[in-house]
Amino acid sequence: MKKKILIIDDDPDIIEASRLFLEYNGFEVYTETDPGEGVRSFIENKPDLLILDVIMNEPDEGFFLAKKFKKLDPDIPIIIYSSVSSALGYDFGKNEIVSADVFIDKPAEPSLLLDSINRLLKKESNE
Amino acid sequence: MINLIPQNTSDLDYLWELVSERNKWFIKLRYIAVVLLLCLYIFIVYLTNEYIFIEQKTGIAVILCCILAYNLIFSYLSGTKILKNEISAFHPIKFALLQILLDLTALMFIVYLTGLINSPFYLFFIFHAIIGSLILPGRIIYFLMIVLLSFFTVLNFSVHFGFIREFPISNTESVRQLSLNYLVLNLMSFWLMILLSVQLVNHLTSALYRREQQLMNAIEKIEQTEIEKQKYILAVVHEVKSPLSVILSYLNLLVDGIAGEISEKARDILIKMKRRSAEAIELTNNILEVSKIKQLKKLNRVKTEPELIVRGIFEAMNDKARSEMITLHFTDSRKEKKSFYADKSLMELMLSNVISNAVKYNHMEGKVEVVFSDRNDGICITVADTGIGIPAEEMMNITNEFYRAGNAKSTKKEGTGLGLYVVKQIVEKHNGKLHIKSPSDIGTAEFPGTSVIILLPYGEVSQSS
Repeated sequence: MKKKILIIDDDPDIIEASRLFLEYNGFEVYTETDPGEGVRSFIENKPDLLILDVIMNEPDEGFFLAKKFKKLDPDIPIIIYSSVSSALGYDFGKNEIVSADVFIDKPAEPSLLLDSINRLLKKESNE
Repeated sequence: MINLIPQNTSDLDYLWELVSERNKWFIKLRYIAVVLLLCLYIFIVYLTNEYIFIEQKTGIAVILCCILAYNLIFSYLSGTKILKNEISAFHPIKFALLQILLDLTALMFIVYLTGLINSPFYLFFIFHAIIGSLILPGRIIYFLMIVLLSFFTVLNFSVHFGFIREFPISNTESVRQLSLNYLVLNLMSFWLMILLSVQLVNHLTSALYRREQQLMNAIEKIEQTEIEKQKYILAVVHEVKSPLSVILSYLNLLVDGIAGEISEKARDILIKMKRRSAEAIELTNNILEVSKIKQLKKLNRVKTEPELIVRGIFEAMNDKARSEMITLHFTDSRKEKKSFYADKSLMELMLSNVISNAVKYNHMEGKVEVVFSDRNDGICITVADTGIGIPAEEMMNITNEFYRAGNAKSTKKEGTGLGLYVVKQIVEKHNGKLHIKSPSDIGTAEFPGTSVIILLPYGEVSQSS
């Protein structure tokens, strides 16, 4: 069965590019540009993995979403895929408040994104 | 409670620092004064033929001992935490006032024991008037000086009219023998001298202080403007980065054939487009980094283990290094690993810039060596490679913004000329030093290589404010 990935990003083009790439690699992809709709889609579609942008309606909306999703399902792997890199002063990885599993700087090499997704899904299925 | 803080003070911390400096200076000066007074005392008591009363001898000796004793206490006090830079606490200005009061009292005794208006020491009151005017608010020093002058005048008249005993140090000079007119004239000119000195010095000091404040405000304004500018750059660059990210993501789809088959020629073109887009993204990242560093007012120094950072960077670069068969080598030759406090994310950025340059400009089967060693009161990080090196004539520009050496440009490898500039900024923020050497110690004739040597002090943990 195909693994399901939900992407929430306010840039429709990034969503489109990510969707094409992930579908090509055999995933079932759901996308949302609105964080509220994202939560609804999460409950409805029960994805196996989440990819979230950070800066959406609010400058740190992605972090709030990540927290919310982890509350809904603590086992769900979350990738924060954002251009708000460490250069902007967000020391992501070490921030315990942010409940994401992996932080990837946007734009990333497709292979890097794919590696992270596969690793997280494998870890989840092992547990 | 009397307010001791000058009215036009806007920066209290600066005032405390200034007065504390002067307090230390007073203490040193007082030791010198004690030595000089002791010499004079010996000279008067033992080397002149003047008749000296026993009360004078013992009195002056006692006062000298007192001055020495309270100065020792002041030396001790100036180093303790009893002194606090708070208005309600025992602050440096109160400390200065206490010193001036004790000095004036001691001086008054010495002057009384050496002939009042005929004493060679009474002009030292002017010196105290000047010092007091430098530190204390106008009203306080005026009040102090008027009390002192009144007391001095009363003492002189009391001696002149025989109410109290006189201690002249010369038999020929006695206040009692002076004509009243002459004494009054002398005292009046002394009053005038003191009050004029106070007025002049106080006025000059406050004018200078105001100027200094204006200057500080202007500097602060400039810094603020710079931060605003950097924020603007940050926002613009971030906006530029978003569409670039989209372009690069789509290009990836095309190059990888995900969007369908394309001709070999089209693929070549797309790869070139991808490379240039990646270059633009790298540029935006570098500009974001520079902006962030420039905006930084204070480092967030925490205990940092640079060896872990290097290992992390090696791990991240492993794939790229392996694909070009470049060996990454790390040696930690520090004898005692003292705690090192630095801004962790900046250290990561700095080391990753230097090490990625060492890998990027290397040749197939090249070497990158990172060595940690001890350097007086700090750590020395050397990153040496067997890369293309830096031509001697370009060495002085290599850390400039947007500068790339000619041989680096001709490699056709992506680069923005901001990497070493960022490194230099980070090193400077940490009060460190950056040296770049080419050829490196591990270079060869064909591949001279570069050594980047970074000296960083151990630092202290930042205080959260």
